[in-house]
Amino acid sequence: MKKVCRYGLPCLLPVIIGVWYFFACPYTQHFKEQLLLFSGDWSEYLQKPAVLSAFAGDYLTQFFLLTGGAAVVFLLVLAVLWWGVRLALIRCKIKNSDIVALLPVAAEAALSCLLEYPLSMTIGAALSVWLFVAVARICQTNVRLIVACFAVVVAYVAFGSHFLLLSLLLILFETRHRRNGFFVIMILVVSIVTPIVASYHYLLTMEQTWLYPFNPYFLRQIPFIPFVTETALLAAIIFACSNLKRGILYAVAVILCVSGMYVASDFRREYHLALLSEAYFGHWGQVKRLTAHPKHNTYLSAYYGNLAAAREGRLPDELLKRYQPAQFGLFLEMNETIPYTQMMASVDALLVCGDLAQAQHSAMLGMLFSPNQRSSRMARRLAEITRHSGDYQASDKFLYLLSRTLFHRDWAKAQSCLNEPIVYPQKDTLFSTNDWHTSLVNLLESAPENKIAADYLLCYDLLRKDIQQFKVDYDRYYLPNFGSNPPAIYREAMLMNLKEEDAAYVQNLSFYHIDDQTVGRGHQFLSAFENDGQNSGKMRLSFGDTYWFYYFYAQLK
Amino acid sequence: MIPANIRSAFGLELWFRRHPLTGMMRSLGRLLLSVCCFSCTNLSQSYEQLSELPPVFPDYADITIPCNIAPLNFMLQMDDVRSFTVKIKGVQEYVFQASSNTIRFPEKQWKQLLEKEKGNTLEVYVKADGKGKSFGYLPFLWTVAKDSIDRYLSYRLIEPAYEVWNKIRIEERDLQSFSTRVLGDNNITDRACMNCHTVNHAALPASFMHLRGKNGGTIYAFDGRLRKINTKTPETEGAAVYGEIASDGRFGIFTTAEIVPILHALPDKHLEVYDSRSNLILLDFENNTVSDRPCITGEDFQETFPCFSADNRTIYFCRAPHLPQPDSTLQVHYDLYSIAFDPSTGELGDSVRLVFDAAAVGKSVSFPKCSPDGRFLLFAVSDYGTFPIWHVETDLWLLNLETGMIDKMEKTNGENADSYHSWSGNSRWFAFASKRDDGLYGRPYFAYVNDDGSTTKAFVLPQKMPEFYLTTLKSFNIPELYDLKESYNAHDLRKIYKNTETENFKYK
Repeated sequence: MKKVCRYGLPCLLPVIIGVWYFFACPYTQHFKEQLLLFSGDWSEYLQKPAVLSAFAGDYLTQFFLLTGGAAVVFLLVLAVLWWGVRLALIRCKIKNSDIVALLPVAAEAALSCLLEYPLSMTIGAALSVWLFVAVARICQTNVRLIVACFAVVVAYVAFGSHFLLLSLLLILFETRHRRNGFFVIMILVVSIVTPIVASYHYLLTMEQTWLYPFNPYFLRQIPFIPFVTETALLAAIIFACSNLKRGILYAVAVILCVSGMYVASDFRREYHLALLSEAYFGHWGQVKRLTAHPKHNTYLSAYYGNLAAAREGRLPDELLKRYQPAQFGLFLEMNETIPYTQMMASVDALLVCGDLAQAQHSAMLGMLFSPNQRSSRMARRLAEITRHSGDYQASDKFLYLLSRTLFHRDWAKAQSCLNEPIVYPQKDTLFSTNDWHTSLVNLLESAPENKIAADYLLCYDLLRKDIQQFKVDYDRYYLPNFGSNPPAIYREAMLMNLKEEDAAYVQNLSFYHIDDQTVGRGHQFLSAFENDGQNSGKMRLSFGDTYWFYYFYAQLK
Repeated sequence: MIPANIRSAFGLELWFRRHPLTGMMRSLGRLLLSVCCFSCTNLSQSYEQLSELPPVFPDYADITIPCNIAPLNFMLQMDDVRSFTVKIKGVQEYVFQASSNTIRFPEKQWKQLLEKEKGNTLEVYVKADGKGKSFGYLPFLWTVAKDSIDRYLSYRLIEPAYEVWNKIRIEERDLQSFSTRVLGDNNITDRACMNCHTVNHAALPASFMHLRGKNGGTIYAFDGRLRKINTKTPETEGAAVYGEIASDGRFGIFTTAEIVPILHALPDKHLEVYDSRSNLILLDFENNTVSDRPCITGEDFQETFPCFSADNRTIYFCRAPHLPQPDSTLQVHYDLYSIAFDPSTGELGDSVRLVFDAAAVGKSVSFPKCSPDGRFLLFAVSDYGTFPIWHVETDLWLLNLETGMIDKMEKTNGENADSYHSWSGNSRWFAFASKRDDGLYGRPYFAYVNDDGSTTKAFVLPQKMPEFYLTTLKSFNIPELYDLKESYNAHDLRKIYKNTETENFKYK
């Protein structure tokens, strides 16, 4: 029983962590792989601190692409961290080391639920602790002092900001064994001076230099979040010295871990990342399922819902069945202030419409503003886009980069054989970023049979409530090719453009294929609007599925 | 015995002479030499001779190189290369062995090779060893020019993300080796944009670059002093953008362009950039003044990309009639003009002169740059507009100022945009940014100007790891050649950005 308690209980925590990663935030972990493009080029890593941990972290992050890969990799790395902390605490003569060592592990497990917290941080923590275990084996005090000072510098250069774990453990070790004040001061001085010198050498800001390889730019509201692990180590030592029972210590570790993971997990973002990832791998059935009953009504949920419908030619049929943030649910606005995840997502609709120019622009920006400026997701998109536009040289560059990774090389090989450019506009025009109307019109001028672009154009007009423009675009781009059986929303919108007093009214109804049912319902809507227009709830009940209701009642909050 | 040329090629001769070897060292030396012998015997082993050039990357086949360039490391772009041998035949014969698909020439031996072979044409033989098979390729040529190239090249590293940026760095590369130095990094200057690092070719060089952002300004370095200048005045339309500094360092001629980026619908055209308005201004760095002339300002024409002639008595620039943009961007053609300048007083002439009527041949000129010897004017030519770096048709043309003849430099220009050029101090070399490799990422290329004014095939800046160009996602912008090391570094730039007050220039 004692053995079960001693070794079994610590095993429970990894199970919790694994289950959490696998079921609660799988897409966050999955997306971490999409934010990296591992090249294996050491010279890149040598330009910044955390050379070893960043290299190893980026290499192992590739496995996050596999189902359950993140959970397995994290559990292994956390196990190494736990084992190292346990040994370190034993060397520091800390009781219940196996239990208290769980606290830093819990901290790393929680932090890793953040999208921008890289695996390299956790690896850096584990390696720093193991370096301490090695240094602590040196018996001669003077030799140990010299090696320790050197080790702190090496730990910063090789493992990054979690070198502080090494410093903390060295100070603790010396305090517990020799009470050598000089040693402690030396370690403190080296630990403070090293990042300052490094900031000069590596051209980092002071904030970056203390937190590298974590990028503080993405979590400005809580800038010193990575030091949670160091704090957890200190707390562990205090707990261990407080003579608390093992059971209580263990309960504290579990509670801290679970609550930490819960707090750090952003479930709204997880939902968004699920949409992004499923769309990335072409699992449109999953995207439809996720957007059918969205957990969160956001621009992204509307965007991917619309995109999934558009791919089946059902965009106008399903447009009003879901939340629509005006036209921003059709295309995602691009500028340098929006989140990089949104930039990455914005490529998808543009690609489906065939707007390769804007898609390439968005993909470039997505790559540029991602945390590492190298994203496998964007590299794949850019390879596709450039190949579709016949720009094989550019495509080959991205395919070459992908071929150096573990899990994209087969895809890259397959892509390199595709040499069929898709239709893109034959006529050039100049337009500003986010000028989707001009872009769609230009696409349809070149390829009138592009129904997805036509639907996007008309739905764009409708969601902007520009029914005059809708009529112009409908007449020019929809009616000639697809106008024989228009969907209800188009009929309803077109009815708004027709005047009953017009002599050609009846002819126009027939010309636009507007059936009697639509006309009748239109009359009902007008009558209800005149009588009970203020009561939007009642109107919604009767006409919530009509474009008329959207036109008169929908407001973007 | 080891042949003398092999010993010299591997740098062993000197090593043997200089070091009194212990017994162990001698054994090690013998082992190394036997490895060399083995490598050399491979050369004479049977192999299949192919009637094609080796697939080297970067393309270093049949080029002229400066006598002071860093080693032209290259790789063989083919599957299953286990090793390969490079034999270079000049006055002497040099043999190098690569144990992978990449050859990295030892820097010391490379320097000796260039020194010995100055003015000669070298034949480069490549023999690749694959899985159980060896291939010999046709040799390609390296002509080692007697003329050296300026020692330093600065460039801006930036992702080709069109109109926005995230991380920007300006680096200075020593062309004789692979060492680089950072002149500016926007990571430590509040992510502000930085651009246009430009140096004049003078014994006491002056340089400028623009640092944007809330603490930004034009950074002017001259005679060991670094200044931060606000060149915008209420009387002029904007701050200085593209420009050049006269050789005495006192005057600078700039454009005040307001730059607007916009997208093309065709994906291969990427981006268009136009100036909504642009004029020329003359800066006097001694008296802290800005001045202009009615003939180079005003609403009717747009003037941009000014540069000084070698004697500083003429300023060349590009000019186009003002048209509403972006509606008429595709119809905007810039011609090459000049205006007189008195370098002793800083007086600009009162009229402008047409130098090259580009519109008449359906072209548009940008980035004129005079060679320091005054013989040539090099400029970029595209079909329309003012910003040709995303125009695939952009080429460099060379105007002989003595004869008035224009050379379209077909041997030098590539398939994609070639632009943003800079002369070496001896006027025999120029550097430029070319997108010829993949159409997206600019790379610094160099070409040689022969005695007769003809130019050679260009070659890309050599890198320690030739694969670098395949893996980097940075574009090299505005390559600038100069012979003396820049006087500041990234930390000086950060200090001046953060701590130095901006000097405000006044309109004269």
